[in-house]
Amino acid sequence: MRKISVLNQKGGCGKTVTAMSLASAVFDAGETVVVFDCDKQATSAETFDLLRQDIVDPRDENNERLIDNSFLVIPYFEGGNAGLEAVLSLMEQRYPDIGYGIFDLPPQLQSREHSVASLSDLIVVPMLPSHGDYRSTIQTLEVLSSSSTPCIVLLNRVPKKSDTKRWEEYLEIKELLQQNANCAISPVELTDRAEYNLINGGRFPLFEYPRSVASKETKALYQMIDRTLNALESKRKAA
Amino acid sequence: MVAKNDMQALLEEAAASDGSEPLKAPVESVPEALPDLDIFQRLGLSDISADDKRELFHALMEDASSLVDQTYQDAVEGTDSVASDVTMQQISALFANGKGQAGLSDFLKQKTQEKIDNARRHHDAIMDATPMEKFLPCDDHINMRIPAHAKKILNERADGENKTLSQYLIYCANLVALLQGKEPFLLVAPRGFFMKRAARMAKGG
Repeated sequence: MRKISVLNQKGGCGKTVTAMSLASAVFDAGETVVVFDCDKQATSAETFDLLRQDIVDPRDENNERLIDNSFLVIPYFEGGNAGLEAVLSLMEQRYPDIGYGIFDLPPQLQSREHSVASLSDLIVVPMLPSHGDYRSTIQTLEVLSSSSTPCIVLLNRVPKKSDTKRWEEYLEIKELLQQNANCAISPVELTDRAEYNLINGGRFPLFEYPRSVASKETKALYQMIDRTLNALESKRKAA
Repeated sequence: MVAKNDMQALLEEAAASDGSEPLKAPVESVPEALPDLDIFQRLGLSDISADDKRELFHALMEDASSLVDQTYQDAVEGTDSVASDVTMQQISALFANGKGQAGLSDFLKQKTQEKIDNARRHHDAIMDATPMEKFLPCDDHINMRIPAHAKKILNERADGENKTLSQYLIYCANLVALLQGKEPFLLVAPRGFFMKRAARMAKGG
């Protein structure tokens, strides 16, 4: 199971939307995916409770099979780092065909979040292109720099160029990130689209509007991450 | 830890390795919204008869002024021009000729105005000829008065799309929004929320 942590100590930067979008793209690509909702707010788990009642597997030609066999969300559980590691280990033993585990982490960066990040193959740090998010993200990245897990920043809710004021701020933030962030910046970005709001209502753009820009971005994000992890794995093996 | 530059190079390569450019922030939203116009098919508007289109239009146009924002009605009125007169070929031709969104906007504006003028006359004639007892209440959170025969047609279309009447009307509004270069609403919202949202979106908010 490949493990991805979605974290940023700043709230409201799109962690759950990123985690759930990514999960839907993994699922859409034919892989089994598990989202670990590590946030006590349990937004992902609540979303999924809404979702799983009536979403049919889009890959099922007969339109009958529900998706809950290959798209799981594990709700928040207590038990500290040891508990989490035990659950992961158990899942990997019992369900070796799980393609991806995605951790939707809370807006904080304490020992539990650190442990999850260290267990992961990749850390995705979503942020909005605003000065407020920039400051928090830089702090988050500094804390994460002690981890050996590769990390990328993902810009979320990128505005349209016609929204001049926000667009200028976006360009400014991007430049600041390139200069000052101690990790790579995702070339795939998630733009400011109404479709993403569906996720908080238990629905997925990728399933309902597969031709929308949001769906294309979501797929592109997954493909980029999947290929990057492949490349990293090859490098490790070669070394 | 993988060095920043190495990781950046890997990401760039991964994002472009299918031969396409990596997805960047959109320069303008409108051209990107246009491929979603297969919503014509989803609405069943591409092949219904002219009479049915009129019925649909009248249903949307019905006396909703007490409950529906006038701006929303303006958007709904645009549905008729889209459904009746604007074809995908015409839209494609505008883009093929390099006229793009500006050309499309002018074209739609002109067509919409023509249709609004015609439809208003037709609408008034129908209303004058329809006894009030023919009007039935629609979905309670839209609560428009729609002639019974038009409601039947609309309900059939909604059923065909496996949608409630409200959801179906949202699709109609989405169609207009897309053609106007706005974000679609895409919402099946809690009661009462839809109309406020639709009105706000129609105003460009």
